[in-house]
Amino acid sequence: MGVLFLVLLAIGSSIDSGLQNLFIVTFVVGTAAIGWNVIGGFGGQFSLGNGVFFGLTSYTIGLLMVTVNLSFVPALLIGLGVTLLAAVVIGLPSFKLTGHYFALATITVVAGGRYLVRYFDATTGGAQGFSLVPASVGGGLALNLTTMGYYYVALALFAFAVLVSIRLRYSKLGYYLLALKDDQEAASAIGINVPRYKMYGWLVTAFLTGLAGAVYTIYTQYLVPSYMFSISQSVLYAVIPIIGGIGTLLGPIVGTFVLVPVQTFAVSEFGGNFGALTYVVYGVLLILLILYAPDGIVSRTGAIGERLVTTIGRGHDDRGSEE
Amino acid sequence: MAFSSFAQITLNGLLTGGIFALIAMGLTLVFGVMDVVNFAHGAFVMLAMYLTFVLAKVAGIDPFLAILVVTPVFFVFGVVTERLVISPILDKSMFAQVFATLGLLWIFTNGADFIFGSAPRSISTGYTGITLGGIAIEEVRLYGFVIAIVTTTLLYLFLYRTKTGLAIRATAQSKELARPFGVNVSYIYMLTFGIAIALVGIAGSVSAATRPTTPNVANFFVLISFVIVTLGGLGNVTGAFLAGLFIGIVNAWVGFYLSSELAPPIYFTIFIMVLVLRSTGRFDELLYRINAALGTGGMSH
Repeated sequence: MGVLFLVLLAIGSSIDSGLQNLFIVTFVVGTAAIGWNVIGGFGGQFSLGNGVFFGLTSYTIGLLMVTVNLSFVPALLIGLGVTLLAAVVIGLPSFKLTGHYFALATITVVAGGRYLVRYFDATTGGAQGFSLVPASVGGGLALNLTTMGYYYVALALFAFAVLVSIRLRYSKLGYYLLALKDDQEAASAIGINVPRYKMYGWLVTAFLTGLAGAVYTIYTQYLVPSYMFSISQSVLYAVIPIIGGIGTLLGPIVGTFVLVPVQTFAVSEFGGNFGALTYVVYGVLLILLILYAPDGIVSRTGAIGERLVTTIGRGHDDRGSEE
Repeated sequence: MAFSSFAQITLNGLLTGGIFALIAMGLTLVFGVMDVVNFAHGAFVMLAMYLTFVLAKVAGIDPFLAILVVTPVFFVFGVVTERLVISPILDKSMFAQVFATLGLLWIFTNGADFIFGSAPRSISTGYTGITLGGIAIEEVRLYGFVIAIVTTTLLYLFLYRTKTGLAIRATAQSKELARPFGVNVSYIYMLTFGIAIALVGIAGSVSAATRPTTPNVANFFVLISFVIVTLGGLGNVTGAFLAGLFIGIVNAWVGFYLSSELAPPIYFTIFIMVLVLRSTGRFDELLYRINAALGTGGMSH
């Protein structure tokens, strides 16, 4: 793992801005995927609405910076605060639901959020979105970095998400999430406060996804509901760890580097049409994996995968008890 | 004036609601009988809309006439999909069902995006509007509503008056108990999914006449279908129809008096509240009482 990050750290200054852009998108989406893996992979709660955390953070930051000229750091703190509050409000009723009903409830939350952004179009710019350029003119370092600068910010974000994920996996919260994924009743019978630890995991997920939205906001400086509150992005955050290896530390990272760069490259080189075509391929891959290898790429790469898991996962069996 | 505009909006909502119900009909079958949450449902509707559009564009076929072509094609499409993707995941975890059908959703919507692009496609029909007692009605909506009523009635008769329908309802209640009575459960599942997607074909042709087609309508249709199916009670055909009318009217009222952007957040909120109530068993109890009073019935759970 360390080697991967050293390489990413070293190449940042020598690649062109097109490649830097490709990696920035990869790191941002990868962070959201690692975020999903906390509640979805470790905790077994399949949220399809994490775009709402991405969107809420980015819109709160963007609006505060443009309308009241707040600088980035306080805007970020308020943005994350709003997102965590929303996570509590969404989580309290939704966690009464299990299985596909939880997935359904969360997907309607992100869809509803998108309609609300369009409803408040006087403030949010509606479907057309709004630009952060007015805020960047007045200065503020966060909005005036070079592409290379954003590359390193996004890399730091991604590294932070990986560290949080590793720490969490071997913490009390991590073990409790794995336990309640396996059997909620058994977990509660041995004294785990299931609603509370679900909520803790959910807040970590919301925090990481919101942070990804924040970095994306200062990078693109243009917010649109179709991306920030996107159903397909929300599904992507789930599909990446599933294709990589759900509930593993490595899965979302492998999934990110398998799926995101190819799609981003296809869009930038050949246009949105071919971006769509890559998703067709991912859809086929997803179905094939679910039918024939539900543990994802990480567990199915045989000897190589085994070695990857042991060297990078530092010898831990990071898949926990899966069934 | 105020009343006539209210009547106008309510009637429009009612007609649109009938079409919503038609869209949700296939989902309530799959959900109720097979207990599969089909996230690709809206994407099937979208594909049926594109097929109707292509038939109109290439061969000049009227969208309502296109039903005769689209429906059998989609029955076969449904049967093939059931054998290839749905049947293998039936005994797997809920996780496999959710993400395999999301995989289908991705393949269908992005495939449509690749072929047709994201620009809206509309069919220009010769249909106009008619006026009834001072209320203007779009012809396409009226015909769509009539087709929805006829389809719902036929589906109801099929389920409650035929032997195959009985086998489907028996399977919905308990596949373990249906089997020893000679029901071929695997065949019933294949047939049910085929019928559900054939119904989607009808709904798609009607929708193509009433609104423009884009790859993204798939998301709207699957969500509104889940809302309707949940409100109507899983597998309950008449319940889905009434729920469709209800959502259509809510949609029209909120759209007119507040904003059309507020309607989905409102019925999504109702949806989540119903789901949470359901998880406590209270909603099912309520539905059971309503059904008992109306003499209508659901199929399962």
